[in-house]
Order: sequence, then structure tokens, then C-alpha cells
Amino acid sequence: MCVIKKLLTILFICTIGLCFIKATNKYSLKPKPVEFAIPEGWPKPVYDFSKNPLTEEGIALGLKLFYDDRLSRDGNFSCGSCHQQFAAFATFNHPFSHGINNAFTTRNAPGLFNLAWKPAFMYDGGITHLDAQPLAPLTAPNEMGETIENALKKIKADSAYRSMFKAAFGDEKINTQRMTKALSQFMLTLVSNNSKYDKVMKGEEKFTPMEQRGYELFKSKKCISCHTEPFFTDFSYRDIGLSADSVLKDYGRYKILNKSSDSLKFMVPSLRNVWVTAPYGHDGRFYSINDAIEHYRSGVIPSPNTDSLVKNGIQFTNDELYQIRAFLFTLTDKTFLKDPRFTLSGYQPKQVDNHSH
Amino acid sequence: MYHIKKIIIVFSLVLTFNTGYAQESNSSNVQLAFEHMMNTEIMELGKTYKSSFGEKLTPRSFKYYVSDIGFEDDSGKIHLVAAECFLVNEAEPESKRIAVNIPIGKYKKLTFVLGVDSTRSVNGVQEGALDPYHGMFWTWNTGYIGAKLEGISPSSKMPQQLFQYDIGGFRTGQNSLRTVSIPLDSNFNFKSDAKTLLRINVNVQNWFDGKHSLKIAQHAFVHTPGELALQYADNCATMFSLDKLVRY
Repeated sequence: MCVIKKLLTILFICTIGLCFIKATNKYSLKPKPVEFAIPEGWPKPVYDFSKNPLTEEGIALGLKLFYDDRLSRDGNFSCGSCHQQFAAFATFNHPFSHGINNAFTTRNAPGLFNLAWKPAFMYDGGITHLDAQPLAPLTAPNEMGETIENALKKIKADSAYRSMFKAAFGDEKINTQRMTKALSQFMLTLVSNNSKYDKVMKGEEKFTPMEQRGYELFKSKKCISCHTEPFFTDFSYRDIGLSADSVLKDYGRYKILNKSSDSLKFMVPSLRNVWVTAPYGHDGRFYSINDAIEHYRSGVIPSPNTDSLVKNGIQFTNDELYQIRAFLFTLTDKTFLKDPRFTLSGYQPKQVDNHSH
Repeated sequence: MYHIKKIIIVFSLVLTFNTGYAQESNSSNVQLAFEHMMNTEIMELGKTYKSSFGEKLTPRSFKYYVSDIGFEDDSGKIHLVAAECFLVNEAEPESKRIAVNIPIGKYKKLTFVLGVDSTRSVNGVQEGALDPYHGMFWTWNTGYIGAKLEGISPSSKMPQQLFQYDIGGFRTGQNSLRTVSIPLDSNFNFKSDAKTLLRINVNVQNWFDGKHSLKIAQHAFVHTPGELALQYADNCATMFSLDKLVRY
């Protein structure tokens, strides 16, 4: 009896000890959660954070992946090559972005911000989930031109990545899902809600009379019907009377569902940070903001699908154009454009070196 | 002390007996074996065959997704035995065999879904058989290629005489999912003490003529969801039939 008692005591101590070791081990490996703050008055995000909770380690891994040129086939292009922070993560001053082998993309790179609220991706909405989005530029032959298999191989070969995956996900397993989840974690942190417009709405600052007049015109001319607050897009697909480019023959949403009623419809772009994302339009055909606004006055080419709001053009005076433009400039979020959390220190995009224009 | 020992022994005996009993008498192990054929010939990648239209073709890649495997009993009830997705790939022999445990008894049909459903398509990036790295995922238009047949044919008018059929699509009007139902011998008893090999004949010829007549000369490339993809999906669903049931 006594022996059994002793044995039981030893067993008990061992069990407790083991549990403790396991617990502390688990604790030390657990990534640090990051809370996703929803700006006041904004709706609930569409991204399901419960399936990919933000953590410091996950975001750090996503940042590294975002700026890693090795993910492209020739080692010259990262996500950050074409999605530049100073251009609100669009490509600065380019209608199209550069891909491997001197290739051009076929659409204007959109800015990346407030992605947690975006229900679909690409101008045609073909991609239905943020996690799946990076696989398109990664594998497109005119962008990063790499296979998922090869990209993963390069990541797995890097011991820094192995420890970062372990820190973010608990073990060293590296696969497509984890790579894209980490990228999403970083991209989800790209929240832009600190423009002058936002400060005015919070009562912290005041519009100039010209900006104020522009804001009122923005509403009265019904720009706001599609470029809806707070995202300055309602994420719908609309035909704004742009004829298809004869080379690109891009019919937008039509490509996804093959419905003629979708022909020439493109997702309404956000106007946040519009000042820094020139040129404009799905194919970057508008060189300046003036050109883009002017389109609605004099450039609409109606087709059967053209939105009734713009079909007959929108009338405004030149003064009003400049007032609307002044308002649009208040949508620039300077804190966002310079936020050090979104930069990899020392990152220099390689493609700038072989830029010929 | 004696009592405790006795209780422990009896308890463990009951436990062993119970688990053993459950496994042995309630379920039967079945190996589904997908045999890729060209009519009566076993299909091999790189070998040249003739379609029913007389078109020569040399397959280089043949793979498809199978999910929601179930067995339908006489009452019409379907016993779902594996809900997950399996990627059957001619180039990987082990992928052509899927082991499932089914409740013992007799069944009139084997059913499964060909392709990947919308839930699995739209909820981010999946792992395992559904990892986009297998090359069965469209990156520009979210969704899986449910079945893929690629190769060369002199009838193809495409560069290098290629033919490439990537059949998929899950959105309304483009749903390429097909439920396959294979009649079984309803007298065959799936027992707990014998493993069964369920050989499925997959006739790749039907890819071109199972329901719709689709010549390589007319269509050599299908890369998007849509009407043409739906016709191929209909044809794909007719490829499967029972070859034999064997106890081993």
C-alpha cells in the first residue's frame, strides 16, 4: 500500500511537472495578438479575422514577404515594387506597372488600403478573398512570373523565414495558406483613415471654403452615389462610359461571368489618397485628376450598360472642377503615406535601377 | 486492493472489447481504385490514342477532384463516408486509390462529387489537396479547376498542337460541379472481416463524347468557366462506371 502511495505521489509530481513545462513552452511560442481597430463610424470588416487572427509575428512575416524580391522569378520584383507606400501602395506615376522581362501589366495598379472592408479584388472582382489575391500577381507571367511551388521553395530554404513562420504559426510548416495568411495580416494593417477629411468629420479641423464648396458639389453632383463614404467607393461594378482600349480589349467584369450586362463594368475605385495615385482609370488613361473629372463632363461614351448617373455627362463649371479637386485633395492621408510600420527598413526596389523612362 | 485490481481488469477488458467490437462489426474497409482507361486500353501519359471522332491525342496530364464520397443504400439513404476533397492525379499512382470505411451492408450506388464546391473556393487559401500549389486553382478568377486534361493532338489548331482543358467554375450559371453516381451490385455484402477493392473504370474517351460531341479540332483550349466548360463537365461526369468489386 505504502509503495503504491509513493508511486502515485511520484506520478502526480511528474504529471504536474510535465503540464507545467508544456504550458510554459506553449506560452513562450504563442504569437502576440494584435487587435484590429475599426475606425469610429465604420462598418464591420468583411474579412473574417477569426480565421486569421492578427499577431505581431504574423504581420512582421507578411511585411517581409511583401517586400521580398525573391518571390518573383527573376528576383527583381516584390509586391512592394509596384505597390509603393508613397503612392498609397499604387504604382507612382505609371499607367501600367513593370513585370519581369520588360513586361507591362494590363491594368493600373490600385492603391492598397482599407482592404479588410473590400468584398472582392481586381477591377473585375474576379478574386473573392484577400488571402487568394497575392497568388495572381505572383504567378502572372507579366508580373512576378513565378510558380507557387518555386516561391515556397525559396522561402523554405531561408532559415530566417523558417523561424518567422514558426513564430507566427507555432511550427515551421510553410505552405501557400500560411504564406498568403501572413501577407493578408500585413495588408490588413494598411488602414487609411487619417486624412484632413477624416479630421474634419471628427471636428478636429476645418475645410477651407474652397474644400467645403467642393465637398458640397461632390454630394450634389452625386459623385458620392458611387464614391460612397467612408471608403469613397461602394465596391460596385459600373460602366462610366469608357470605350475599351483597342489593344487591351478589357471589358472588365464581363470576363468573370460572361454576362453582356457586365460588359465594360469595373469596380468603383476608392478616392482616398487619390492625389498620390495618378494616373487614373482601370487602364490609367487619365493622366491627371483634372482629366479624370473632365471625363464626366465631356468624355462619356455611352454604351447600353453606361450608368444612368453619368450617361448624359455631369455638368459643372471650371471653377466647380477646381473646387471638387480641392476637396479630393483632403482625402490624402499623410500619416499613412509615411507610416514607418509599413516599410521594411533598408528596402530599395530593384526595378528602379533598370528603369528606362 | 484486490477489488481495485479486479475493477481495473474488468474495466480494461470491457474497454478493449468495446472498441474492438465497434470496429469489427460496424464498418467495412473499401479501397476505391480509379483506373484511367481509353475504352478498353489502360491510359498512360505520353501514349497516343484515338478518340471516337478519329482524332489522335497524346495526354500529358490528367487530374480531377473527388469529394463527398457516399454509399447509397436500398432505402435511398446516402451514407457520407468522406467529405474532404481528394486530388486524383494520373501522374501519382497512390492518388488513384482512396481508402474509406463504410458501414457494413449492401449498397446500390457509390456517389461522389466531381469538382470543388463554392464554400471551399471562396474562403481563402486552402491546404492539403486543395493547396493552390497543385496547379488546380485559378488565381485571376478565384476558383478551382475541377478536372484537367492536357496533351497534344495533330487535330489541335493551337501552337505546338496543344490541347488544354481546365474545367471548373462554381458561380451561378457556371457551376461545373457534377455528382457522379455509380450503380453497384446491390447483392454484394460489404462485411467487416473482408476488405473490398472497388475498381472504378474512368473512360477518358468520354471527355470528348460522353454527352456532348466536342472535337479537339473545334475546341483545343478551355481556360475559363462558362458554357463550354459546362459541356465538358457534363462529359466528365459520364467517365465513371463500376469495373468490379473484389474481396481481398
